[in-house]
Amino acid sequence: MTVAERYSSEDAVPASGLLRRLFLFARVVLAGTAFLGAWIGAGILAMVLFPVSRLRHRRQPTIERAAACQRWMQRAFVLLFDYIRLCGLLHFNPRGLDTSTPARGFVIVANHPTLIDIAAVSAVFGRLVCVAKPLLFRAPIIGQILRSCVYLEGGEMEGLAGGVVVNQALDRIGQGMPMLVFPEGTRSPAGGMRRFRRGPFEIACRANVPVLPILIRCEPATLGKGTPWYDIPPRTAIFTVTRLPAISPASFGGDAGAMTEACEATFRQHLGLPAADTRNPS
Amino acid sequence: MNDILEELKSMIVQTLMLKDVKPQEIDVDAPLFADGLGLDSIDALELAVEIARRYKVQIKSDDERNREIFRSVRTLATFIAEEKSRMERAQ
Repeated sequence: MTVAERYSSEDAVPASGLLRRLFLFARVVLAGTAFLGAWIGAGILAMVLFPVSRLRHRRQPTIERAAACQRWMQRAFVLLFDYIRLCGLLHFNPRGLDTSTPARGFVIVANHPTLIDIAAVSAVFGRLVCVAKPLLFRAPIIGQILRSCVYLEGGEMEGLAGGVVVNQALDRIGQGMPMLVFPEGTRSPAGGMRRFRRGPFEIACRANVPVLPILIRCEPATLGKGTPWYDIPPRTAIFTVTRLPAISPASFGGDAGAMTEACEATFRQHLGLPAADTRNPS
Repeated sequence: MNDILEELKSMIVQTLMLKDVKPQEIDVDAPLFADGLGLDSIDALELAVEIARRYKVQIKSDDERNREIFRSVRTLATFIAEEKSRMERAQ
């Protein structure tokens, strides 16, 4: 029996009546403990483990101090995924996935169906830097975590912010720190995907490093944009992270625009989505 | 002002290496981003660097007016003209 068969079985869910309501209520309570645990974990990281880790690695360059914090965050995410897997809420095991990466640096691009995509990719790869929205940088605890891990502060598309992020990302890659960027800019719409922006591909082309496309699937869908945390499916969600073949800027003659189009087409094909409507970019 | 408008149009085509757009085809009042010329913030930064080089006018990346400044070729030209005269007065 495959993992998907074992978990996607409806048999485990009581068919009707009081038992079903109790079962669904218990799942919401478990989900609540997972979120609470995640917040407590974030507090411990920001206030205890990161300061201690920074002190321990104080003689190392900034980027390696950040990498040490990222490793702590990776351990925390692995623990969190173990917990929600044991609770039967969501099945994802970050261990055992192929983590071999190009030595000269790389840019991971992924679709963004759920709230926990960063957690999943971080749990697999550990060492990486992501772009987060300015609002999160100003939040207590989360802001401290993002700064300790030298994450980049993104901004609006209609301004210079995106261009600044590209330059900062090039700096990170130059220091041997890989990037994770969601080319859609925010979470994917339910059952679909937004148009890709060229930011991550521009970074890859200018740094001349490969793009590692990672396909994220979550079935049934949960934790999407606009869904409240307690709106959870009755059966275990199967979360998978699939590596697609790396693409190199050289095969597109360093043309970031062409690379963006090709990569988006590959994702759409894998997700069974129709080709993008180029006349009406969303 | 008109000189700046014309210069900006060719600068946009040259700096951003637009393949299917000629400078004279650019509508100075059309939006630069999204459904107008379809530029993005990476293009905007390249333009800002080029503008700083040619006109000595600095556009800061964290300026809250950027959305207004980069609305169209005309708003960009107006901003450059205003900044230039402000700098001349200051000298």
